[in-house]
Amino acid sequence: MTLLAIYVALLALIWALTAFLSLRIRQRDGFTTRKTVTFGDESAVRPSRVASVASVLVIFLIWGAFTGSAWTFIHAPAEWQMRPIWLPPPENVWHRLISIANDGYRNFTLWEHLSISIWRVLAGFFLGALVGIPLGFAMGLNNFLRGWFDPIVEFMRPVPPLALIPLVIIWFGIDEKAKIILLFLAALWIMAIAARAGVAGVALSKVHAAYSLGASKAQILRHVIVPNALPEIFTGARVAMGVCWGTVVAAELVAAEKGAGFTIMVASRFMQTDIVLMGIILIGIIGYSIDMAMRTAERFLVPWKGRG
Amino acid sequence: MMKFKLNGLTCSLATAAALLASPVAAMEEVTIAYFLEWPTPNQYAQATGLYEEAMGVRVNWRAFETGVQMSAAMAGGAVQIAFSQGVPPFVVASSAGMDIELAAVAVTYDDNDNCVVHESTGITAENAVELEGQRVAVPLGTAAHYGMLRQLEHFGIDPSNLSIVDLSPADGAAAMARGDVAMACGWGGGLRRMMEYGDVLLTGAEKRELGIRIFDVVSVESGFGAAHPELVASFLRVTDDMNQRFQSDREAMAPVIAEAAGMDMEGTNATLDAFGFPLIEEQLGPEWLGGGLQAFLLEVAEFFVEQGTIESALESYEGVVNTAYMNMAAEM
Repeated sequence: MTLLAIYVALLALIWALTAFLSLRIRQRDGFTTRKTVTFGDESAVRPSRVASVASVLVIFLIWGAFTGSAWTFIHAPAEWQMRPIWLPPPENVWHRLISIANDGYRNFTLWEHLSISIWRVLAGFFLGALVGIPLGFAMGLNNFLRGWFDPIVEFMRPVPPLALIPLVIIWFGIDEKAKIILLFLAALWIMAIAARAGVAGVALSKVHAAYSLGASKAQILRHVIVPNALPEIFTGARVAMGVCWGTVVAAELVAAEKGAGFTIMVASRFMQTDIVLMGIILIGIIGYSIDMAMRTAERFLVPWKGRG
Repeated sequence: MMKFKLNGLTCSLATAAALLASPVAAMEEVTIAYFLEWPTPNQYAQATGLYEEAMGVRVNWRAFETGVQMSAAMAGGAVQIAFSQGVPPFVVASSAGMDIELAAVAVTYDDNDNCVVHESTGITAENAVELEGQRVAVPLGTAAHYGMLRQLEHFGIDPSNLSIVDLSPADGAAAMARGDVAMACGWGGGLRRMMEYGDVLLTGAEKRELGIRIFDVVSVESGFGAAHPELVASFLRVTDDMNQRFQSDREAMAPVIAEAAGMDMEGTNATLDAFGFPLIEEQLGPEWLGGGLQAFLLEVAEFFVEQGTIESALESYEGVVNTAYMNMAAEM
């Protein structure tokens, strides 16, 4: 509770501080700055970069302050300090990162652990998209196929991939194949539903307009439906990627010999909390980078998103 | 009080369990960690409420998957006593500086924790070196892992030449059935299923000769133990009573134990045959709490350090073995 109070106090303090400072710094001129009332107008909300940076710094500050870190200038009273097996100070995690990057962990280098996880996620996601998107289109365009696949997709969608792990081991063994199948199953239904929703979201007026100009069915699909469904598919892909990262960690709990999730689990068996934290932070960074990359790709590939 | 809340908060990284279970202040109930499919005589007392009667508090029994999770739960304050935690998880936790004490030996089982080689490989103790390059399933950080490493050392096999995958005994048995692994290590029901597909390299007696002892311990969260030693002692007293009674009254107790362990009678009897339950007098002797146990813990810890699985060992494990509880129980 004290932690929460400190955190909220810091948030309020920095907020007040930035509000005070930004009085002098004029915002870029533009339509939004000319609005007189912006509360409730989501399009006028811009993330404050200052706040983002301060937010990360505050987390590190609290982390350091409660773990007696040599990196922070302020420290919590001794009786509140956490012991390293509960929460190691940030520099321990950093040193551990360096040592594992140099010497490896459990016979594999850090890069091997991370790259195998990235490979599993990308392979599973790619296969899921490859099957899921056509499946979603089929369900969005054809009565029979919609009827045929609807019960399957709707049944499988709420089943968490983790619940499938025992079956996957029995059916597909403990090789790489089994892990990728699990991730494929995690991505498949999300991509199918995103594609179907994309098709459903195409404005009927556009379809009619194209028909009245003499478009064939193939042209409708190629020039109207696919471009209009892409924004939904991209949103689905970002969700699927997140779910795949969640699943890969769990998939590596079983019968893995390397991987980011494996590193975390094995370290926890030996109370190496610094390695656990390192793994969590690395997975977070990789997941965040992939999401940023996909957002950028979205901007380039689907510039028409949100414009009619 | 603050310390516990903070501990709970950080521990939620590992267990997400603890915050609301802040213990110790008022001791109205005790939570004890145990394993399913791990039949022991004291489960007769667990099932019939004898522990509540003797200890005078409510006793909650929580089933765990591994001894490592038991340590994590004790760290978060959600569990006060772990019955039948493996030696390696205890050594790892105490070496990392966790507040955990060894109070007694729960069960010995050299024959119920072993490595099984798939018969199709044709590997036996004579040509064990041929395991190199093969895939092996073992639950990492457990007694089975320790036993495997010691056996490999005995056969002169470098573990880094094996492809070691982390699998629970049940999953290891499934992988063995599919022929995915050449060797699988584990205990209990998983070990019995593995035996359908192959045989062990060394028997329990042969392992004992090499100094590989396999047993589980009763461990206690130190803060709880210091505040309520009488609860720990009466827990050990009831456990010992059950172990004594088991020697003469097995017929009547076994069905109750099987029920509590979640097993059928056949499996329960097979497992109980492979288990040993040393009584208090024996445990206080030189082989166990009298000094042998402490020396063995140090041996295990140094072996783990050598293998690079833990950072460092304590100088001596006498400080984490508290014989006071057993001495109190012997008086009761």
